[in-house]
Amino acid sequence: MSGQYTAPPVRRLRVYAFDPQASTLAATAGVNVATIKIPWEQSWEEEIQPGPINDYLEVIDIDPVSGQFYEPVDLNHPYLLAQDGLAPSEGDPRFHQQMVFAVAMKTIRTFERALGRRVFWAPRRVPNGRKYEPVYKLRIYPHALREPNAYYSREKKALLFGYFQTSAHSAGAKWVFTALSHDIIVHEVTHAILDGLHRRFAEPTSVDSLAFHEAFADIVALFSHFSLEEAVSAQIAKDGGSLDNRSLLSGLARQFGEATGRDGALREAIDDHSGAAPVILRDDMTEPHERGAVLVAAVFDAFLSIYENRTADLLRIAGIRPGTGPDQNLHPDLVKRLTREASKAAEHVMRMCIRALDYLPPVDVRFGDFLRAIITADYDLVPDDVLNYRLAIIEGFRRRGIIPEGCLSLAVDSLLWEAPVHHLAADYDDLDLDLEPKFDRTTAIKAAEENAESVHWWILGSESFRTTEDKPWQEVCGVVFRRGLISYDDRETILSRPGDPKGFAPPVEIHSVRTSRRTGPDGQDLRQLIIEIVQQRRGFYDQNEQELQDKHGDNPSGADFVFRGGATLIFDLREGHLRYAVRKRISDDARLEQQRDFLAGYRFGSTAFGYGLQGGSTGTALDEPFALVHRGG
Amino acid sequence: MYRGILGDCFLIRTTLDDGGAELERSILIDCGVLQNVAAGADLIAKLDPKVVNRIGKKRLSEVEAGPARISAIAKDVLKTVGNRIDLLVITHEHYDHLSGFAFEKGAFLDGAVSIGRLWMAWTENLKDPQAQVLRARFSKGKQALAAAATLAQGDAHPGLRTAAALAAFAGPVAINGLGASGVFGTAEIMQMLKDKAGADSTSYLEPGQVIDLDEFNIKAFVLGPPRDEVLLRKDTPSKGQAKEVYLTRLDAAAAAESTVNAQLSLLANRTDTVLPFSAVYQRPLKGKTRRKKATKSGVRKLYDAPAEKWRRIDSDWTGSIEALALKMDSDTNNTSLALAFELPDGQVLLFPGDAQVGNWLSWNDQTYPPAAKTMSSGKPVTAEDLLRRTTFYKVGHHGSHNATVEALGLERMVDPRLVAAIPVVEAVAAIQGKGRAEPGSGWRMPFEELYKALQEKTKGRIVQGDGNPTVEKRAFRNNPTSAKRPVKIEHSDLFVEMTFDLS
Repeated sequence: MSGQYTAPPVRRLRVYAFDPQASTLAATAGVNVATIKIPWEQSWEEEIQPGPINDYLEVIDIDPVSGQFYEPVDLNHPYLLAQDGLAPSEGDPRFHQQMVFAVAMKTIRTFERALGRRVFWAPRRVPNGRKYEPVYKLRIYPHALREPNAYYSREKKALLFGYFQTSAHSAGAKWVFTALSHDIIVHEVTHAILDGLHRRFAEPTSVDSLAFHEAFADIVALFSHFSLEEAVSAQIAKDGGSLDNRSLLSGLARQFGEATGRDGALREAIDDHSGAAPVILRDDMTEPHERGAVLVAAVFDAFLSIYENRTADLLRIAGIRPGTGPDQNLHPDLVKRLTREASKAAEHVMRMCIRALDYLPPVDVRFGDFLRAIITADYDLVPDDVLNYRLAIIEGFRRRGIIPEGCLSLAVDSLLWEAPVHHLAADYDDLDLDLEPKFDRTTAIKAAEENAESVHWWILGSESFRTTEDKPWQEVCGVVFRRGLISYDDRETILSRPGDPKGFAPPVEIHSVRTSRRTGPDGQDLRQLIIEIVQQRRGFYDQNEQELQDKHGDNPSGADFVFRGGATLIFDLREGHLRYAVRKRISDDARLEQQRDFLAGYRFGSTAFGYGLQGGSTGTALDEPFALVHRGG
Repeated sequence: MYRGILGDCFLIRTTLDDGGAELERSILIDCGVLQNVAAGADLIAKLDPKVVNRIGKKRLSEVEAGPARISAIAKDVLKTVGNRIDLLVITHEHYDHLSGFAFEKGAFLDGAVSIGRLWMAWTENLKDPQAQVLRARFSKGKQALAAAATLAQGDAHPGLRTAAALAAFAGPVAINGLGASGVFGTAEIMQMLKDKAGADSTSYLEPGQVIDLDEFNIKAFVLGPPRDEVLLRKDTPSKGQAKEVYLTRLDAAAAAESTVNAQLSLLANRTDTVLPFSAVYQRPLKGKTRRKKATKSGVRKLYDAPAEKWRRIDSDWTGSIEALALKMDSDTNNTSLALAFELPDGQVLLFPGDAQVGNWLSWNDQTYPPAAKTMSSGKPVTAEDLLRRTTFYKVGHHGSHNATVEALGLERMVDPRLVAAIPVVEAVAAIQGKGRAEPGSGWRMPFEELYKALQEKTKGRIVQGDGNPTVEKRAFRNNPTSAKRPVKIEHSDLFVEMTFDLS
């Protein structure tokens, strides 16, 4: 910008706080316009172009079904700068572009703040090659489809939003646009961010794996509601200080839900109070959204109890017993204070969840792993848990029947990830990592790639690794670096493959090498280096074939499925040593069997009837895995 | 079983000893062939050479044009039964089970032909309230798909081709000239048959019913379709159906319809496209623009950039149409009238139509007759018992992956005398849907894993619509169903006949 004036700190953009329907209802119309503040571009960042297009996103408003290419909104137009962007309007496609952009940017910033580093999108695999190339900008198509659906396409690295006509009067509109639903936008952007962090999470390896993606996207969408102060205080005033009734805040995508024939929101975080028992995780819940809803409910339960803890004193001072009914008129100052506590509690819980992402294994994530990751990540940053957040989280998960495997108990100290068996550090003369923080996004992405290559080279070719370090690292990482290094781990399905039957060193993938810098509430400064290392193994549906291929590498054939193992290595950069290795061992035969059983069910149905979904005459993989609502069904 | 068609046409003839005279009766189950099957040479000329190579030129060249073949079959049926069909069973409203009646409309509906009784599933009863609801839900989707099929011309997106190929089950659709299509829709054919048989002779069967067919000396057990809507819509062996998906179905159909109509208007350069935004905001992609703008905007350039081609979304909208087509097709298959015929010696002939998973599973939800109606004499029969005694299995849905249930179905057919019949022509199945353009991605019928399981169960005694008669005969000879009175098979140009000797 011009040198004479100082750039403003933020750009303000108006959006619907929920969705257009909320503006048509008397009770919510007053709180339905929110103004999102996104940081003004820094000097090293690209200026916002019409689209909008910036360093992170490119909004392209083509509508192939209608044969239209709508004009892009120019957020730098003086008229828009003077009035916080376009006013909310269903009828102007440029407002739709503004809203998806603003909400997506807000979500990205939320992640960046919690993670302590930049958000990167998943790289794209170049067709006909083993190479990946970085994707700098996520693409957003606000009017891609004419159907009640929206999804993140991994193939195109793009968000596709649908719109449709509805006959349901309760939707309050004839046309419903998913790109105007705050919740749907946050949900889909979160899918994209999560895919960028953990690209193997999108693979169906257990009932939990896809459900986790859905649950996480819902958690972020849900807790974003609590940053809307007007809406929160209206709800608090209405319900006498309590938040545990279903409301606009606890439901997701209400207009979409009603327009598609549901009696209310698309999904709800609070149990139906009509007397039904709380939903508890069961093995037969396999539809990703349904199973994910249990995880969302667990986190939401935790949030509610944290909110109650934080506000008990306030209510006592005011002489109010919480939840005694909506007829109490709370003092406006009290409402304000309660609102602040609710927003804070929601923000804290959401941050705990996001920070946990760095503490998850790189493959085959389970709900129980997530609990352990939340607890460990929070323990590292906030060792002294005065407000009992961790206990609230544990209690929430316990109530929903989410119990991690292989933990002694649900006490905090048994849930923490174990320290590695070897004392290891990442400072080797021949390991060259660039850990300087980068401001420019392109440079940052390039540096991350180069670091990954350095680590890869270090494992494959370096002197230090070959001479002394390979064995302890293999023990810690749970992947196989060399044939015969730890004979217990050797499986021919890891070592040998059709192109390389006598494989000596099986390939490993370094997914990311990233540094993060977080500050705790008492000013603790946490600097970490996180490395994800992943390996694949050939899996077979037939148990005997698996055993045969595990033992004999003379004639390796392909594979029925890919089984992956690996570790997330977390280094403490202040002390320079490896703090945790969150791993899923590649030689874990029991886990392979679990995945096989799961895939058998996934392919053949729950009780193994029928003859397979994949490869059937019509059973092609039609569904985008991250569709808001799965097509067909 | 009549051969050489991707479609069902089964004729059961019983011979009774009536005091020295032989009394013959006939049951006809379906008569149809898939649409858009041209003669082999024409197919080869129109298909991508790569597809032809993959399937094999020889196998394709043997394909006979659908209409010609089914006409010949229909004529043979009428000749064999002497214009008298004692019982006509129509399993479900799909073209590959019905078209024979349309192509030989004159002959079938001729005064000379008489139909003793007509059996259909309760879902075909226009007066049944539940059937009416199902019907209403279907009609919208059907319209959308019929329209979608017209979009699937030339180098249309594979998703649309799938939709068009599936739409061909429901009504006349000409797909880019691959052979002739019919004149009548399936609903019309159903009505014609009902009219011909007359209301008094038409029965709409309910699951659980047991019907004594004294004149044939056999008993019929009605297994499906179920009344339970959840099962009625369960078509793939997937787990955990989401509630929400059910509710969006009507919307899905409406959305598909709206998508297709918009596309049709665009193609025809019509201006009646229903657009979400008012004229002020419209910027047509192609053709005349309201405002002449020589330069493309930045985003437009970005979208059109060759290096960014992989991110374009020009045809992503076809996904919803394809999904709807698949769903509608499976739903219709699930309304199949599934019958088990019990022979006097206890053997069972199983004709499940094209029943999919939900229909199969529902068979265990009732006894035969239903428990409440059981008379004091004898225990009601269970589906498990019927499967255990099954010695003939008409393989559902031409041997596809989702129309034979494993654990609660095939696994329970334990009679060592089991034989199976698969009404399919593999080469024709392989060029359907996406298989027209992509080698190897057509319909896999019969599905390999199922075929293997069937071979094991029947010790190779399988007859197939395009099977090699020598091989089939050899299997029956080498592994006879019984030492004394084995099932005999006889091939003709048009059919393969199995004889169950009960004397």
